[in-house]
Amino acid sequence: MDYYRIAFYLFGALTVLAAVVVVWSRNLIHAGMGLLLTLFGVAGLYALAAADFLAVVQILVYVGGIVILLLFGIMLTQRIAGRAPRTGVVNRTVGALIATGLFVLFVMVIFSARFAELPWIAQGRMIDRESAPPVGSTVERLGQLLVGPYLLLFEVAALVLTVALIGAAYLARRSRQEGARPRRMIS
Amino acid sequence: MWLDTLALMPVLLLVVAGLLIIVLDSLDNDSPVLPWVALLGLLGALVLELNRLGGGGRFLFEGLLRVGGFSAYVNAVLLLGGIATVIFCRAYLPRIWHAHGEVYALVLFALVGMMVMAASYDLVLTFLGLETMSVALYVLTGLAREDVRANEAAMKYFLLGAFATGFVLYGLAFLYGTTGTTRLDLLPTRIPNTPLFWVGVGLLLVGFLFKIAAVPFHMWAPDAYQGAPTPIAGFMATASKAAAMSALLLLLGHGLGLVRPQWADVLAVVAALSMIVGNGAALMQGEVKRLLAYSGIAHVGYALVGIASASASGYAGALFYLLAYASAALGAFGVAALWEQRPDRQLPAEDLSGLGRRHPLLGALWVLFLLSLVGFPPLAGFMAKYAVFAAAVQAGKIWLVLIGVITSMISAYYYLRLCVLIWRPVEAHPLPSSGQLASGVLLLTSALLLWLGLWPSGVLELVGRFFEDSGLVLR
Amino acid sequence: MVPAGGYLLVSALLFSLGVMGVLLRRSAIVMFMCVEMMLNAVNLSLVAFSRLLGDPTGQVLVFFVMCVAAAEVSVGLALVIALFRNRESIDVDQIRLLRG
Repeated sequence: MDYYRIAFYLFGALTVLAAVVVVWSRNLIHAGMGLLLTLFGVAGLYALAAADFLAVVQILVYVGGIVILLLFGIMLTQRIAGRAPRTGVVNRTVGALIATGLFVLFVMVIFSARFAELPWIAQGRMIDRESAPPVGSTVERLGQLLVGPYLLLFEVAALVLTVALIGAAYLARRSRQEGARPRRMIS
Repeated sequence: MWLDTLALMPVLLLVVAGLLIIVLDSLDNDSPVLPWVALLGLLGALVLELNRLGGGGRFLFEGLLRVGGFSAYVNAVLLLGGIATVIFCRAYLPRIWHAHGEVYALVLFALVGMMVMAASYDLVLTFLGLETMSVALYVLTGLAREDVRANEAAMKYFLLGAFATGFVLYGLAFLYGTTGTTRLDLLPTRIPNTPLFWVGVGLLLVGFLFKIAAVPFHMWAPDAYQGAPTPIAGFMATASKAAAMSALLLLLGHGLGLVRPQWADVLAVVAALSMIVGNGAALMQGEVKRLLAYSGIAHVGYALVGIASASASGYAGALFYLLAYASAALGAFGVAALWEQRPDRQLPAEDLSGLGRRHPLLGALWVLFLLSLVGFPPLAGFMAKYAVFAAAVQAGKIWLVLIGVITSMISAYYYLRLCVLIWRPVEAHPLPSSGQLASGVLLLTSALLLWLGLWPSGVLELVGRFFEDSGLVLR
Repeated sequence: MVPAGGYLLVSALLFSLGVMGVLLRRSAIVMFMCVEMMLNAVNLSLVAFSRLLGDPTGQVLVFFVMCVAAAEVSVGLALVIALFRNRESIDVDQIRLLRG
């Protein structure tokens, strides 16, 4: 049993178990921590799948940015002092049935897809962890792609972020004249 | 590369105008100049797009996207929607105390996303355009940020929209994994015989059908339209649907054009459900924006009849339908925006009574817009329905046409009720928000409806030229 | 070496858990978290396919998905804050999410 396989099982188990915590935990902070571990596990899986640059970005953007943002959101909108922020669960059976059905469908189609028979996969050079160049190589290739053939997409992605920035600043700001209603006291 | 960038001038114009609005807004908050900047950009872009309407399409950036022809037509429809929205916003927003500069920038950026979708031949670019549009629309829906109803509408739209985005992306991942490409022009030669690919297509369809509010995925639309400012609701009902519909047409008609039988029946069922549920639910609505939302769901069904016919004439019919529906719905939402006066931005149907007696011209226009939505003969709505139904008959989907005709007759009931209501002899309030420009837009759209209804051959020939007989979008 | 099927399996599991979370939970923030999990599942399968195909395009795609995820989260949290300011609750059960 090689080390990659062991590492894969470890990170995979971490990802899935932490995701279960996110879905089932009634404590919002616990759910946030579960998400953090899930994202961390995914970063590990990226590193194992020859995506070292993405693994680093995953840690920086998701674990370092998005989870922190979500935790701030939890703290801003819950009264932590009195009781732990808790939240309920709705539509138990329907949701569980849909999700389970989807999962069964995905597993069936993934295992019936004989990838080796697809011509463009057979042609494609398999990047193995062993044969792939050492760390840093994907950074260069990704960089060239982003400013080369994908430059236009890169610009549109920048526009998405600009729109989000403008929109988030607008929505979260308190307005002076329109927010004239008195602020309700927190009991 | 530089020449390719120049060919993107209409989009660039909108981006520059949007950024200019943000800068001007920070110098002079909510300045009255801002809508004019937006209009200038929109008109410039419209002129450029109309200019290349006749010519064939041209690929840019090594096949990433394609301008002219098909995309020029859709973009012209989108820009028309954008111009009307900006003008109605200018009349409407000051009355609800939300004449923010950001609105105009966000409308322009949403349009950029939509125009990218209509031109994109790469699913990743389509996705990015879709997200630009969606993120801007989430914010615009929640524009009345001090009102719980607007917050909740935006939250619902956002949560379901983000959920749908997850499905689009998973479908995209499966497509990429099984074909090794995300390019629509490479897809036809690479369609693999594996269920994973078809599940991917299904997931993509779910996401797109959500964005156009087709029936099993329509539940966000009535609430979002009701919570949004009325001109923005009109924008969502027309422009965002047209953009997502044209992206769907590119994916199905071009990318999957060779395997039409696989998706045509699914789409036909969705179209039938949309027509039945949309018109059925609209019968029971008492609030005008909610009613128009359900009517919009039904009209998506009619346009999908064209795509489900899976033929060149069907696609052309769907494109014609988009223009006819957009003109009528923009007009109807525009009249609703001008007439609405309640502080909670609601417009119960009873509030319309007396409109016609107080403002006969506005009342006449309202009747004209609704009659076009019914599909009354000399108007654009009739020709559009005729075009898609004829294509469906040719494709052998008689049952779909039967459902379409019957639901159209049912829909006449609620549209005509709204038409009659406004002539009641009731003392009505004066028009709360008005403007020369807004009336001008209403007159223009009604003229468009008459022109498309009486002399449709010009536009029908134009949209027919985008498609070869094989049905692929090739010219 | 782990075959691509392993990554795809984890990805499918993560995606289904995300779907389940969005359908089951009623706190808007937990629903965001579950959407993020769905997007991560997508990214994981993109990375797996990218390796399988020997084509770096998949990894570029992941990059764009991350951008969009960040944009969505920021707008979503701004909405949460606006909603909380007006209602002091972010549970969405009163919004009737799945009804028209």
